[in-house]
Amino acid sequence: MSFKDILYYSLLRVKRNKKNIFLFIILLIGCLTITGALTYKNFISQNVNDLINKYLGYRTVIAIASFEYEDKSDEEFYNELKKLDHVLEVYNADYNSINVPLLNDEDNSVSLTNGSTYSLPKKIIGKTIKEDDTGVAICPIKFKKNMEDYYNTDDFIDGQELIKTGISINVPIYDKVNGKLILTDKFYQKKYNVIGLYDPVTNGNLYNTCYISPKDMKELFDIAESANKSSLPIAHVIVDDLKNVDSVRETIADKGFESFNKTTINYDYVKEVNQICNIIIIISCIGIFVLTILYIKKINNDNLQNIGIQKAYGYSNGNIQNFSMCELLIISFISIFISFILAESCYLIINIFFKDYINLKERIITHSMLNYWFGFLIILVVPIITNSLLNLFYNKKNAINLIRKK
Amino acid sequence: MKEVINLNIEKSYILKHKIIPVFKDLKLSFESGKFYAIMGHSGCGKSTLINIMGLLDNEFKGEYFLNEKNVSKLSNKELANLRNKEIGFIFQEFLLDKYLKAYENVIFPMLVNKDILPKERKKRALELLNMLGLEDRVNHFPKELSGGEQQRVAIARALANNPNIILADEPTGDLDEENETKIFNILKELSKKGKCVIVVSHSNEVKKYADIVYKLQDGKIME
Repeated sequence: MSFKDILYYSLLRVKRNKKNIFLFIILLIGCLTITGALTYKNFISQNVNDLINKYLGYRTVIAIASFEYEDKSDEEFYNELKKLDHVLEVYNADYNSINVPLLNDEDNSVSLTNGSTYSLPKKIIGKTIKEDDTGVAICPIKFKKNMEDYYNTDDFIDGQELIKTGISINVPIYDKVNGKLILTDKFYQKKYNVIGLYDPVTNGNLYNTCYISPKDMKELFDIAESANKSSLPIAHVIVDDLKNVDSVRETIADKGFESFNKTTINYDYVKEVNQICNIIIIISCIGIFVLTILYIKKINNDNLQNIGIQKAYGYSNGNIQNFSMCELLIISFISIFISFILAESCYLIINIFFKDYINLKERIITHSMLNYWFGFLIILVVPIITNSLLNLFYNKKNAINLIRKK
Repeated sequence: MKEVINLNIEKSYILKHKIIPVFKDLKLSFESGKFYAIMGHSGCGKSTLINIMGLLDNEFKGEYFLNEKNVSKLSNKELANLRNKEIGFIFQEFLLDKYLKAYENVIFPMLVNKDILPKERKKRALELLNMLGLEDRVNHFPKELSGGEQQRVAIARALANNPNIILADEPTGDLDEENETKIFNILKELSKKGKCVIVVSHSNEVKKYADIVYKLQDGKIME
């Protein structure tokens, strides 16, 4: 019997047997659940990994010197830390970043960040900055100065515009009198020419973060923020890899310094999401398996006389199996196709919805075809196994016995 | 008249370690162009005889010649092939595929017959349905047909591969008198056209049409 005949008659029977809709729904829901759970699980893991990769804070340790360093220079403390294994860079924590008002626009601000070798974005459009550069900055491709109105996407300033105008700051200078901060009438004013642009989304930054050189950062802090200087030197220690952060902290503790992670991540949440998704996937697989077995068994029971007739008319067991298998595969493939269309539409709608919120913009759902393949495989394999097992049983039955079974 | 079936068999079942004999020295022969009726009460072995003659059960002692070919030692595949080409089955409950139209039901046995080309199948199915007076029912589904019409579609299906033998198991059991007469007339006509028609039936009506009546009693045949 030709494949064309099997396909043609299977299509006819699938189209005309309205009961197949139940199997179709079982497989469709199963496929969507498995694909959805896998996508969400991978989305969370991917997001966490992205966040860790983007944001240097997860592999930055803040180290505080012991009291014996009150009488020593800060440089001695930093040099001690620079000698440690897995440490890429050490700098004064005071020089890390500072939020300062813009010139002639004191209600809005720019967050200036130390553009040291390891903290600079990996991809910069235009020129980069060096340690000793002065009066230059790298700013976002889309700059937002009003961060209080965070969700408003209408007031973005194009990075190209900033290259023309630069960024000018106006920082009030404080003085420390008897341990209290007092505002003076002096201001630290500086203009930074924007020489490069970067994407804040892929770097885990806010839209008002600009990088300046370590030299400019030191100057800014020493003049405008010296009143805020810590009594003990505090260092930012950048570690080469997240997995080495704990060992670096142990070594810092061995040297008698206190330390803590600049930013930590709640892995329990990720684990919880993974566990829940795994349970959903396992339950879905078992559900599909049980429901498919019950349903195919019912279909075959309704079809016993047909199987008997086919046998009587000279159909081999293989012919009969090919027919029932083909019918099931047609239903499975339709379920796969519809679930693919539905899943893609869902992702599209969710992503369009997310795009309206800039805080979620970086969380666009990225779904890999692997998630689909797993779901597809399950709803193909389960009916094939079920049908093969049931056919083994029917193969042994005599045609007349099957015909008279009812 | 050509002998198409020659049986000389013994058959027994084993039930709870006991041997239950069904047929003992059962000798039967059937010729083409004749209408045979096999009658007997329930449990006398009619179904077992249909299974054996229809090549659906080859677990028996003795020999079975179909068209002078000993079929008792054939493999399942060879038996299936022979069944497809040599035997047309008709059952009491018609047993049409409810999801296929009348002509598609007739085509179904042809799908495994390599001697009939795919492009000839529909033409042949329509010819058979026309012959049985169902030309205006070819595109109907079984549920849209009366019992008599369904049985005529089943007869067309039985004739699909032009078999020499028509094996009918209670073909009028579910029909009224009028349709019973129609079906027996059709079967009689087929025997006149050279088919060997074997009808297993409770109905005494069949005696009117049969050339030879076999009565099955206690595992033996009485002519």
